[in-house]
Amino acid sequence: MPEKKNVFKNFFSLISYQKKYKPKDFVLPEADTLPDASCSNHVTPPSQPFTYDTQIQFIHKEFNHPINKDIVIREFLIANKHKAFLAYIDGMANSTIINDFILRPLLSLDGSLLQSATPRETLFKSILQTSNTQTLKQPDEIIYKILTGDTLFYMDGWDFYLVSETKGFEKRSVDKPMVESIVKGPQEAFNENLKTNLTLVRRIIKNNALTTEYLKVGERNNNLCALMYINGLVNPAIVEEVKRRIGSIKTDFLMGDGMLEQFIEDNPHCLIPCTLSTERPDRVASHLVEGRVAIIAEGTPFALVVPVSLFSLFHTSEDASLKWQFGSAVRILRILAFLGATLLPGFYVAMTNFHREMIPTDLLIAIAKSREAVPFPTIIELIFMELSFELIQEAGVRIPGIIGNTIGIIGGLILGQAAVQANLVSPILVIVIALTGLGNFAIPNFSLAFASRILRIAFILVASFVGFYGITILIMAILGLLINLKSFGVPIFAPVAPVTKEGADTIFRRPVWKQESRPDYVNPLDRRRQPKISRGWTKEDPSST
Amino acid sequence: MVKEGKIGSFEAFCMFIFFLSTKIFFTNTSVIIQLAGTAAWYITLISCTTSILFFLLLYRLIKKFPNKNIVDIFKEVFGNILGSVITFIFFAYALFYSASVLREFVEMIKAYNLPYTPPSIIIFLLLTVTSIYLFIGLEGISKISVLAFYPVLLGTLLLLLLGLPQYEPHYVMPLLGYGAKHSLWIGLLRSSAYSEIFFLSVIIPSLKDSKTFKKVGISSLLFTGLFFSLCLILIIMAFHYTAASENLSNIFTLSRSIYYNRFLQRVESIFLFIWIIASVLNVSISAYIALSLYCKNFRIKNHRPLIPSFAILLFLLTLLPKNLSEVIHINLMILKQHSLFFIYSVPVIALLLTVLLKKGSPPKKLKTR
Repeated sequence: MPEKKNVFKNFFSLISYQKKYKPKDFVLPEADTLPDASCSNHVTPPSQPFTYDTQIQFIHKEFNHPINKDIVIREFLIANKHKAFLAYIDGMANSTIINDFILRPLLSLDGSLLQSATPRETLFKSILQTSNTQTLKQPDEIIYKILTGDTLFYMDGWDFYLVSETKGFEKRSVDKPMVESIVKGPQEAFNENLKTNLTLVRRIIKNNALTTEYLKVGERNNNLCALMYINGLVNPAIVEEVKRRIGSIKTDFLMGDGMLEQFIEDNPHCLIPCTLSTERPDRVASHLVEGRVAIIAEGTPFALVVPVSLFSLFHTSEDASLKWQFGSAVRILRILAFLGATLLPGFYVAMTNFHREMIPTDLLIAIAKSREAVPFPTIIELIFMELSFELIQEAGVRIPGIIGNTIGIIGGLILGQAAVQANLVSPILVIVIALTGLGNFAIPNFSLAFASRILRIAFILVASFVGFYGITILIMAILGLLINLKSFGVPIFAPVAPVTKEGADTIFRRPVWKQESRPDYVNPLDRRRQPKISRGWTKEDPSST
Repeated sequence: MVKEGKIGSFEAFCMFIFFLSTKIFFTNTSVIIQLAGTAAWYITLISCTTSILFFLLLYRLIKKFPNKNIVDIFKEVFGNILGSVITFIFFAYALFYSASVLREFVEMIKAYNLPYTPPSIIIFLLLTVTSIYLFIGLEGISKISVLAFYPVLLGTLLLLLLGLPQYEPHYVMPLLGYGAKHSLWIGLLRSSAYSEIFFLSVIIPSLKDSKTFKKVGISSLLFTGLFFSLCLILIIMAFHYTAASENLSNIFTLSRSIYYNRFLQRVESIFLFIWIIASVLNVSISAYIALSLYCKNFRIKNHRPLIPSFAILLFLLTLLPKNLSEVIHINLMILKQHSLFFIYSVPVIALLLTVLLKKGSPPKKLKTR
């Protein structure tokens, strides 16, 4: 019970010399001054010999039991004679499976069975009624298995452990895509569970050559990354390179694809992404079939696809579902959207400040009229509107869903209409910023859209100093900095620069029945996707069948 | 030696198109129309043909020394000291070329678009990009040339097409200009305007083989010659030879005079973009060639540490001429009219010496059974 405060005493302390009670400050001690300072995350193997006591002590020590309340260590006797224990993490493992299919068969085990000559390992594998039971000997392996939701079973006298798959943690169900929504095509997206994500891809590619490899990253969180590729199609060098890069990562914590991307991309200082991040299993599947590698990390609903070219960042999974004319048209629209989102405000500054003679007279008069009452120079006006727009965008992401509608009212009404009425900005500038924003949202790749937002500011600044000259110079400089950029050995501007064999799906999409070959720049082992005449019925005589 | 990487034939073609053709956006067209009058459009074809002939001689020389660049060939033919001196002169020429183009560009952009911007700022910005291009090397420059080739070509053709209402076919008369003899002589002299093709021999190890060298050289010369001819005939038809010889940049003036209606008029913004892109590439390619020649001459393995000093040198050389007329009448006259004697004569002398002294790789022996 907390001690009741004496109101009179407190009041008296204010008007007397009695010292007021001061709470002690908490001071964080330096790590090296602590008695058992240890920052190692490595598993210490149990002391020899291999006995029941050493094994149970090992589990206690590794999981900091009994202080750590998550780990459950259930000790029992098999056939009233042999000591044994189960270990699992509460919440990560499914308790129904453990109770009904592991614990119950073990507790009701007939002692005579243990007298048989059958090896213990085989015998117990048939007693444990779980889908997957493995024999493990390495201490670090069993610790990892327990951490991922499996159940460890050990019996006195064994020099091995049995691990049953009992994963049963909570997970989100497969939902609609949030970032890459489309009209025509599959409406499934990845979630945070790795197994679910792998299943979603495997459900699309029913091919026995589809291979999944697992890699662990992050010393502290041991995050599992899955590598998916179609064996016999993908260039093995790409797989090796991905494994080499992921395997060499030395970090304590890695959470999902965003962090992984920064660890493995060729040039992390470059604004343009060198990997393709997608939340759509169908998109991953289509890239795997083209001879690329997908990396799916536990904990995020996104997969990374490598290698990519800049042009593939403008593709969406919807393109393949549309007729080639529509698919090509929307791609050109997206490229124009990217150019508009990056360059339009810069153009506006350059035109109004440096190259007024280039604006048709009527338009020039309209611009001049709209700017007549605005007291700021164009650049200030533009930066003000840009910042406001960026604020709306950022606030729109952070704002809780329930009050999300207000952002539209604030953004549209106050910053748009009111700013114009208050003569802070000109109406034409509002149109420019609105078009820029629309262009930015039309870019299908989130990282590329971010790059566009940053580059836009740079273009505005150079345009305000030297007009079109500055814009062109900056374009050329950016090209110079990007031109040698590679994504896992593939030049980012392939197949245009360097010129490789033209793909059927770069900017213009050929009809799906004319896409005979896979992209040349990823060097797949099998370049041909389909024969020259993929629509066999066009050559057949209809009456012959 | 400098590791320059490998470039494809189309990449080399695009790169040399920019190296050869950018002058069409500058004063070159006015000068040639001034010299040859209405005959300018086919005079350039004579120059182009002469250049192809000289290029074929250069190819003969290159073929005699497989897997060697022109610096190694000069050193082998003329000896180490004389070869080095000649290479140094070529290096100085390339640097002078780069600075002259840059100065011409600066003078024109000041006259047309940025009258209040100090020239040093314009030069500084362009040289910053050039330095980036020098840093990324030949492979990078060639890839950028491919990327820039289509927009620049389409932009130029669009400008020429939009100028359609301005063209008066009878302006090309009299066909022989100032007389056949005069035209022929000017045609031969102006072969210097295509002399940049010589520098393809500097980067020959980056090409696949000597056949690619020949293919790239002839195709880029033919393309440039036809493109020049087309531009010149359209310019003469648009402005008449008297006015065309007065304009600073005829293509710019053409883009400015386009008028279809109150909205589609004065499309010089298209011109500005293609002009700047082409100029940046031209200056960068010539500066790279100069740097490459310097490194090859003095056997410098890494060209990157030299870039800052080169950029400063280029900056200073650009500022040397007093004004545009000095650039046109001294720098460009040397480059486009008199460089012929040096650029083409040295490889021809080298070829003669090779044949006389029986240098180079021995001819392949015929297989006998």
